[in-house]
Amino acid sequence: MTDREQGVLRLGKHAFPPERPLVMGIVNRTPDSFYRPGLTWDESAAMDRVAEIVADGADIVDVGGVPAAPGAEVDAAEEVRRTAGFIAALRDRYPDVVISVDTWRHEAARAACEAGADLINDSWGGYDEHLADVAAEFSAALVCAHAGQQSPRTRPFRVWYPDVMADVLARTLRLADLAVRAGVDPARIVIDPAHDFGKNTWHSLEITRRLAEMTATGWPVLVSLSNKDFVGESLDLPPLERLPGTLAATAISAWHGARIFRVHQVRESRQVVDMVAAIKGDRPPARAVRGLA
Amino acid sequence: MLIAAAVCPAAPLVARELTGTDPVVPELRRACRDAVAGLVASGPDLIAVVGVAAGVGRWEEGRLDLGVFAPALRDPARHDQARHHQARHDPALALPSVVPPSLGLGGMLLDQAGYDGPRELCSVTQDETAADCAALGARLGGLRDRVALLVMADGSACRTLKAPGYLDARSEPFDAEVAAAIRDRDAAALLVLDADLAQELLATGRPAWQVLAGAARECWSGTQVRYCDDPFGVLYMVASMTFDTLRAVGLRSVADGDLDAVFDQMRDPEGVWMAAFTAADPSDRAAFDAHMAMIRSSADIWFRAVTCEGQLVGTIAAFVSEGDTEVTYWVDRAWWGRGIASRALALLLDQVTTRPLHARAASDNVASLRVLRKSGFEIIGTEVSFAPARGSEIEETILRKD
Repeated sequence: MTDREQGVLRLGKHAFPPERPLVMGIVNRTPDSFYRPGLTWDESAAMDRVAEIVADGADIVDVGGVPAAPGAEVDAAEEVRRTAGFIAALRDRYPDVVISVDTWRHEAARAACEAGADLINDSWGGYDEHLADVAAEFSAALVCAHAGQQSPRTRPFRVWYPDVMADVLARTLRLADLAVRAGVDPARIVIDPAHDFGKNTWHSLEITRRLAEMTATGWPVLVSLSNKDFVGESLDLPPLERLPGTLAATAISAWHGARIFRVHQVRESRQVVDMVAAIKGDRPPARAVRGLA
Repeated sequence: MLIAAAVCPAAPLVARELTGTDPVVPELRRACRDAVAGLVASGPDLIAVVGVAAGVGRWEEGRLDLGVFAPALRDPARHDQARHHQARHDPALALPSVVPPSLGLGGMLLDQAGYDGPRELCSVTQDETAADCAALGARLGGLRDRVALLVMADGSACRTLKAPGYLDARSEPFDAEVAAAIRDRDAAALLVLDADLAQELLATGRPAWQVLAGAARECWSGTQVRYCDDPFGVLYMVASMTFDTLRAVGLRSVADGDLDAVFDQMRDPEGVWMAAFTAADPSDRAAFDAHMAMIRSSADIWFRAVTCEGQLVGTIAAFVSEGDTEVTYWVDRAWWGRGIASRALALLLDQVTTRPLHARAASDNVASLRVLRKSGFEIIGTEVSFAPARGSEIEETILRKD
């Protein structure tokens, strides 16, 4: 059987079986991302942050140089300046951690892969058609996300779908297919419904509820739920108070079979996905003595 | 003819269900409800809803399927119904399987207002030219005698940093121009809005406003703005508009090019019957031409074409007969029942200052007698004489205005 038939996900030198949930910790090299803006804008702060999240159980470090929301223009050169050097430094210091670059631009992806990135995390649904070529060239993994028909860094405006999950499946599977044709290793392709991207809160709740339809395709599914507006709007809470809601959505997604969880709070998320894996029977309890003595 | 119109936002959150527990914008919804109630109260034969969508299409029914925005709220039965309805529709139109949301919202507002009369939902695209939008407006206005128009349209969605389209400083002046045009009843200003700029500013209402402008033309007589604010960085405007179709009625000199149309109007059998006292043979063109030549060259005869929205719809005259000045008019049958004769007579009364004025009508021509009496003519007597169109003697009523 091929890796893909066995559900093996290859990231860098690693091969992860389907029952192993992966936590991807976010490290934004931006001054203006929505959650704790500027936290890791400074390079040494970013490096400290990586040490912290790796210690907390992150399997993947996701480095981004451009916020998702509209705002000050960040061109490709500036994006490369923010991410590539940092990724190179990370690669040196953490040879075993999977490094991901959060970008939609092939220029930034190329610089990141040259610096040692293993995964290209494109939340904007293949807006740059050369991105898959870069993944193929560097044997990197690629995230194929659903962003509706949104251009990068735009907000949804009255978006509607006869059936949002049907649209998510159609677009992500088409992107995955295009990636395979571009020469990306099928064992290195991940699909992502992209909560909040080209979606209102109801849409994001629907794709969470119906996530099993995505995992049933056999492609590994990444979910990026962390402190997002659909959590905030569901509970009417500001970004810093969205952790419990995020973890609830994380648990449901894990139960539906998501494989990668892109998060700000690594420690809490790790506990949730490990607990769900234990409930599913994918993971034995860490230490079981209760009633067994 | 367009008798009333309302502008409401095409924002999904106008649907109460979509904002969840918090009503968020109750005052906006109240304004929409009042505006649409006004449309229904105007007594239309038809309410046309115009909205912007990805494709051009028209529907005779349909309301918002909440499920396209909120899958959890989907009514499965209605979803299937919408698909079925679309299937019966022109399959060449590459439209989604449901009524576009902008129109669906309009349909929802009509339902909420308790309107169950005929409706026509029309979509226009962002690429539609001003001329095409105006033509659609004119077409909708002409669908029935009394048409009300519900325009689903919004200003820029780039008014603040948090706006859907982020901040664009050009939004403010653009929206101000639109708001002023609507407030000042300036259809021409709506027709020259910059379509490219509108698209850049996510001012999705541009084509719909231009449909309104095309339907309104020079008849736009009043605007009441009920709401104008941007709580989420999108300019929402709710307004009620009234139209006075008679504003479009005018008088002008008769030109040679009018004569064919006037001849046709004056030999229409129903018109001839009502007028009763006509030429012996209204289809005798030579006699008609001779009569017209006489009228147009006589210094004692004041003769004008009646127009509505620039179109020739009849004639009106004042002439001296046995020392009395008498008025007469003829309105094309296609334009009967719309107050055109009354309006034309009012214009005549402004321009012909001779008093008293006399008028005559067959006593069974109730409509014409009503026009005359409404204009201040009083019945002073009757006379029985031969009416060529009836082939017999009938009673004629004689009226006078002092």
